[in-house]
Amino acid sequence: MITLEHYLALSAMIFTLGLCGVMMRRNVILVLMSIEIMLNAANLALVAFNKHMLPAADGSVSPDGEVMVFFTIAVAAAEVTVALVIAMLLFRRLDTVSVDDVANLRW
Amino acid sequence: MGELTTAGPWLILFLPLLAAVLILFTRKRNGLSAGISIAAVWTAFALAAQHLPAALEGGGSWSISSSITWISAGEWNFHYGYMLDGLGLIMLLVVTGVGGLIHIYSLGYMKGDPGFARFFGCLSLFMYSMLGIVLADNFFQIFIHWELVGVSSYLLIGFYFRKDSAVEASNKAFLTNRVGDFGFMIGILMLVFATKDYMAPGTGAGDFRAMADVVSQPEWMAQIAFSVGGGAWTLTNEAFLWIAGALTFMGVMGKSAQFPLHVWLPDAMEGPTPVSALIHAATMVAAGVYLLGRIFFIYLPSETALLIVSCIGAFTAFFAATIATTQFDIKRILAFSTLSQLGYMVMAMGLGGVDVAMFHLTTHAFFKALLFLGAGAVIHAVHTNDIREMGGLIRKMPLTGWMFLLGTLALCGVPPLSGFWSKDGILHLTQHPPEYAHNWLIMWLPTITAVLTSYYMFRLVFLTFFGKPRDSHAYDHAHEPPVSMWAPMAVLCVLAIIGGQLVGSPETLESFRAVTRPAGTAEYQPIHADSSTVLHALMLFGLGAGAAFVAFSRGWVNPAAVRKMLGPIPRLFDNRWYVDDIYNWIVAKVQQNVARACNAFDQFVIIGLIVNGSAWTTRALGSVVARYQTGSVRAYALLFLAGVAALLALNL
Repeated sequence: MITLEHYLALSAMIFTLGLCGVMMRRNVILVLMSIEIMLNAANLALVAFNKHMLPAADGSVSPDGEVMVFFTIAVAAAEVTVALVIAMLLFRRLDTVSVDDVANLRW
Repeated sequence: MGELTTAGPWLILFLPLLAAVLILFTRKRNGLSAGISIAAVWTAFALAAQHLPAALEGGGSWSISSSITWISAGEWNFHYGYMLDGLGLIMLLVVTGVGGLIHIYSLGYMKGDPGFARFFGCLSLFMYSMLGIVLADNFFQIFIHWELVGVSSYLLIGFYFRKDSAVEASNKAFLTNRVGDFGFMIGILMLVFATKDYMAPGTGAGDFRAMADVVSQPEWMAQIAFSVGGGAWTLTNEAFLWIAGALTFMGVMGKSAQFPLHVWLPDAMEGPTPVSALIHAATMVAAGVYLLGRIFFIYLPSETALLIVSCIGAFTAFFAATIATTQFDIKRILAFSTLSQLGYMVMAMGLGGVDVAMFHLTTHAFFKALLFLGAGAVIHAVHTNDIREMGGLIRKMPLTGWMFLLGTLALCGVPPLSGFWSKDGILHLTQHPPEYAHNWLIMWLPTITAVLTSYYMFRLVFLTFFGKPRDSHAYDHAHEPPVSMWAPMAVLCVLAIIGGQLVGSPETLESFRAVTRPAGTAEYQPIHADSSTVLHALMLFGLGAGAAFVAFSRGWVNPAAVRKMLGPIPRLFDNRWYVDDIYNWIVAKVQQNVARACNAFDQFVIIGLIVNGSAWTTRALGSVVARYQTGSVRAYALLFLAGVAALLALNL
């Protein structure tokens, strides 16, 4: 039997993986991909919560958690569009995709 | 004719202004400029004189007026106009008549001066300002012209603007007057606000006649209560009236140079002599006295205010006379004498004798202008102001000398010259003062002052015109003045001799008194030239003149020995009772140190601690916090994580 705890443990593991990627990777593309992984970990948690926590008294399940996931996917798609354009322009201008080389916005 | 009578005063008021503006464009042409200026003032005189028969016939009830709305804002209406009544007409004739003579005198005195046209321009500006005071029908107009007179006086005292002492004197005059005018302004505002609600709507703010009506109503008297600080402190109506009266009197103290704001007048003698005669003897300084007569309705209900006025006047008269006894500058002696006579007039006002005060103002304008013009002729001839360097001048300039002597006799109140009638009127008033003024200051000082007056004037006359010449160089150069200078003096001399009887004869005196006495003032009995009055006047004169004769003409008594005998008193007079020194001390020490302390507070607390301090604090904090802006995205992510972890740790 797969319980809510299993889903949440998996979600936490994926989230930590993504976080580690964001912290450790220097390549902008890979940082973005890590962010996507974190988002999907959150999505997994959302659908799991929806399935296990929200059944009404008559057994029917409302789709609130799933709807939230669709929002996240849509926003993530838009965000990736912008982020990829920035990454592309970075490469064109500075000939690099390493986040450590782009540290101009400082004091 | 009706049209002409109401238009006349407008012309009187604006002709001199027009002349002043025209002279701006004719500065290069001396003759033309002087001509414009003189024509303006004499036309004004002629226009004023045509009202005289009607005024004398109408007595106290005669008056004409006209005004326009100048500014209208909400329920406030500010009018600009004129109100000509008996009091104003007398003043108008004095100002334009004596002023006109002095304009002519200036032709000769200022001849060859590089500022000739400018001088006449300033004179015309002064005439406009002065006539505005005389004709004003409300407090705001009179205040504006009060300040205008201050400006023209400033311009004329500082006429020789390359001379440091003249510039300093003009500043001193202006600043001293500002002190008085500040009180004057507060007094005006108090009175205007207190009476505003009782006036008919549409009445000009501070209108004299409307205000006089309000003040005379007993209901108003009972109701005025002036609350200060949101009702925390309320003045009773009596306190309100005398405080407002005393504040308004500060304006008079400034302009008419009453103690303790008298300090500017002796210094104002730095200006050309015609200016001293016109502004600082005959007209401007008399404006304060005139103002007292004009707004007498404010003082009438308050005996405290009248007492303040009369005591300050009496003290000024005595105080200035004592100083005059030790001065050596011919013009300064006359200046202190003017102070003293103004003190008489102010005191007479304070005793309720508006008519007597105006009478003395008129005769004083005649003989004091004559004396100043005479002094001008002497200075013109010997090129010095110091009477120690003169002597025996009557042999070289007999015309000037005898006229000067006549002026002196008139000032000393020798019967039957003009000064006798007016001055003994005032002395008579001090012997029988109203109930509230029964004190030694009023009863004795004016009589002592009369003796001092004869003493210092004859000291001046003996040292200047009689005895042996003490400076042969100056004596050899002395000569009679040109006709343009002595002719106005001759006219003034005639007026100084007969001016008193002209007004002093029983019938004309009655109409003069009826014309100048504001409604509601008590009637005082006119002076009769009976034997006791004449004897009294001659005795006062003889005491003073005799002392001067003994000391300075015959030399039976050595003045230096007398000085030594009197100890520190002559030094007190020499130093003008140390009033100037006290003011110097206040300004140089007290005010300067307060200013230094304020500056230190500003530098260290305001600028150092608050303004720059806050900037430094912000910058210091910023430079610490800015270290975290490394630009490294991964570092930001780490911090972000730490932040989220901290929040979670706090909430879970």
